[in-house]
Amino acid sequence: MCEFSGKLVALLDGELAAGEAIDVERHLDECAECRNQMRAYERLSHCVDVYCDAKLEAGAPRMAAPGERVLLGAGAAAVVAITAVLLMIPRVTPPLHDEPPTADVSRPASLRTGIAEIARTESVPIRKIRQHPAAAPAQVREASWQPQEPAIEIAIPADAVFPPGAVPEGVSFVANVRIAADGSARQTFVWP
Amino acid sequence: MSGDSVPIVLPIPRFATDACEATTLYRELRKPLLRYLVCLGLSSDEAQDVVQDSFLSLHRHLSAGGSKQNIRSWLFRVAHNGARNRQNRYDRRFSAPIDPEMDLAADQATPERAVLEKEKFLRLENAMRELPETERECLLLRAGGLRYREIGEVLGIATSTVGDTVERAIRILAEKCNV
Repeated sequence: MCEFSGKLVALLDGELAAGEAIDVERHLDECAECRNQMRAYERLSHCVDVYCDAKLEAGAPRMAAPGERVLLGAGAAAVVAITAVLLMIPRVTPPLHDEPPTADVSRPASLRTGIAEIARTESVPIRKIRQHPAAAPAQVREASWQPQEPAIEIAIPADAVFPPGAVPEGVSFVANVRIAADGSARQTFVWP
Repeated sequence: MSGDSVPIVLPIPRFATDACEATTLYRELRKPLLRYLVCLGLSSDEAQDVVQDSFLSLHRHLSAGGSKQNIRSWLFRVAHNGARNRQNRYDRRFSAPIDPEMDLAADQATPERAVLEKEKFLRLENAMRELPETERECLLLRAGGLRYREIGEVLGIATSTVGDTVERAIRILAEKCNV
């Protein structure tokens, strides 16, 4: 067996160092046996590609259903959808207070620390998102009425925001978030 | 509801950047991942589950500020381990005979050509099934477009070992399939 035959696959895959690749290519010009072997490896590589595609296609009917595509994309696409909704909405339901309180002495210190820590380091996992038109006035609207400011509600598990044990079970929170033009959260208020 | 409120800052810009990266990777790698998992022996449903779980793991990884280096091999490794977790089914499925109804060569020009192609694929299927597990996995990851270094990271073996393993697997298949 030729001494270069063990390097043919690596050459085919572009895994040889430049100098080594040149040596093997020079050898291929001279050695018919290695050239044939190289062509066989190329054909086989193509066969493996086609084989893998065929295996995937064999399961395609299940994958091709529109509902399936939606489910399949749910993982990564949901992330994008949530982000897109957040970024597209110029302003969310206005907060009940114009300015956040400077300090909240009524809350335990561990709670405040937990909030600050989360705000500093971690993004908050979002479990559920629901979008709906802003609350409409009670009177009858005109036919051309358009929603003015869509509101967004995000359900955030308490244990993702607060330290363990800081929030009793069953207690939920409501948050108002102001989104700045650059997509950052300008102000966020949380109420139990 | 009380009137108390506490200001917090949600890291939305970072979240958006990570989400865009995850989406780009999803578009680029979803099919290669599915292909790899199906070829490992997972059913289409199982492969889709594993791919979905892998991208959720990716999102968590990026959200937690995880490294973005070698993210392709990271994703393949997560998917590979997901497949490993279904080891029993995976072994059974890959050892099972090829589906006789599997239309591997439907677009061939003539029926004779189609039969020949199908026979070639059956030989390839049998030869791949007889390969040692690592060789088969190296070959499938190579078919997925991964470099030797990335394959090594997925399987936890040295790059030089990947080179030797791929070369050996290709040589064996070429001999058995007479391509």
